[in-house]
Amino acid sequence: MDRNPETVKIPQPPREAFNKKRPAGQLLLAQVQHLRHGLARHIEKVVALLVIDVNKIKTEGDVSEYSRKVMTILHQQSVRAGRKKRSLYATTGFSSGSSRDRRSRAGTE
Amino acid sequence: MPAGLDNLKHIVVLMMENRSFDHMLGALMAQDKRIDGLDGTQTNPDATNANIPVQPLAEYQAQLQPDPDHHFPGVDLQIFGGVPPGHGRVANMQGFIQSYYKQQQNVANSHNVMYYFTPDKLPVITRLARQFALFNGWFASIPGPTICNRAFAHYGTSFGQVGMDIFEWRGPYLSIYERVLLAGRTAKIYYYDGPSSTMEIVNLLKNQAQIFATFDQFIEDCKAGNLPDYCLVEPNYNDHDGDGGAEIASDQHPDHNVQQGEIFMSQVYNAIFDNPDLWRSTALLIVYDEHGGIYDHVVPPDCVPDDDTFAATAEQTGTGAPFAFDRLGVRVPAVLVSPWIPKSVVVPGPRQPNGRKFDHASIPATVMKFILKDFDPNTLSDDDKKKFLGASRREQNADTFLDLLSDQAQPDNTCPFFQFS
Repeated sequence: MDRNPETVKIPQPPREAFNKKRPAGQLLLAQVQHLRHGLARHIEKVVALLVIDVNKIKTEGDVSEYSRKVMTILHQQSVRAGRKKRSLYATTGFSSGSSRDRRSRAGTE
Repeated sequence: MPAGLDNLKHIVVLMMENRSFDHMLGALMAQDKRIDGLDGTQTNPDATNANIPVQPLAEYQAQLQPDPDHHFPGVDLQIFGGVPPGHGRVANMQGFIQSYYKQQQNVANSHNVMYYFTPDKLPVITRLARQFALFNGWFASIPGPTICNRAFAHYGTSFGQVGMDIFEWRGPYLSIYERVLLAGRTAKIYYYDGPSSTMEIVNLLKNQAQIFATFDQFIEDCKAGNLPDYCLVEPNYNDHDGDGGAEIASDQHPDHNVQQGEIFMSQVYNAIFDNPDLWRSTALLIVYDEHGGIYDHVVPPDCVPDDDTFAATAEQTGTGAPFAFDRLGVRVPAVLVSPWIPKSVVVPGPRQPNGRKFDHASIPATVMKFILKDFDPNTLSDDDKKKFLGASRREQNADTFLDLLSDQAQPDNTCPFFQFS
């Protein structure tokens, strides 16, 4: 069935919007503390991560790396899914995100 | 029962970060006087005692630096214009510039919290707000920061927390996800990816990891028609490298790029719309957790206090006075999307005739109403029934939003579908 929705164009942010060296804000630094706390029930697996000095985590890139490592323990699915996702719709225009967009357009033709 | 409610099989909540109603949607009052937005007369005094008006000068990024204060004492200053608790004070929403000035002592920069977006700069949320339902009176659950506000969406309460500290769940109320599962239905929290993680780590991720999935899975579930009965979607909270390239934060928390958040909203909406069966059976709520220290002109209303055991002490609030959870936080953007909502619904806020007020406790309250539509809790054991029906005083008294679903569906060819330009 041809649904013919109205197409609304939305711009993409500029390349310089991405900055993983941006200092992490209070929310993200609090999230790090929460992530560390969440590790506690996996104590045998996580000793190596716990010795990381979280006070040295300063940037968004640092936060994301720490989160990536912790989440491999807290939630295995995040690791598997991450490897699948990026080619679908990374949204920056720097990569193959447009493949998702093309599929979306195809869905309405 | 209206056809929209009869057809409802899925409720999806997308919770964004740290932007006020006026900042994102206030300009729409020029298009529709029912919208309680901005007319340019709203002001705040600055450090020179000049009255600085709101202006349509909001930029996507690099303008709200440092991140405006949104912790309990800062928000108290914003709402009460700097008058401390007691002293017969009255909320006047006159302390936003004062609060921002405290962070950097820069007069010009302090004005930035008064800036708002013109509708053309926010094509996604603007179009969804005008196509479906916009809430004039959705408020943060408490005048404070992210973690405790999001707790109201998960649990219907923050268990007395007003800050970002780690707290271990001690009951008595289960999260809405656990209650949905008790009813034999399905619930998920979709977080963006591992590097972004979730903001509900200490209790739910630690003890209920099975309810979590990634945004990848959300997209797949939408395609396959496998969306759970209830789910909450979290945006990307930080800039990081992904396998496919740079992943820009999409939560819109300052100083993250607002356009990227628009893109993320469009992806969530498109994924639902793209599946015709899902589109006709889903209600999508897009809401923000709190105002982020950015100006809004509407005084937050009082509310029924939360459970007596959940008061915050003067030490915890940082204002010198305790907090009884008897007033809401600052107003935030909230839009309800469903083809069963008539075009351009504006839900009146508490200052308007037939006014209504919502906060994040409205989310579990609404989901419970949805589940109870066709589930009899008497089929549960006494213990499980008590757990299932247990809800905080705040949640018990929260307004719900399924009444916005009507008998008529908007035709698909009048609804939007978003594409990158």
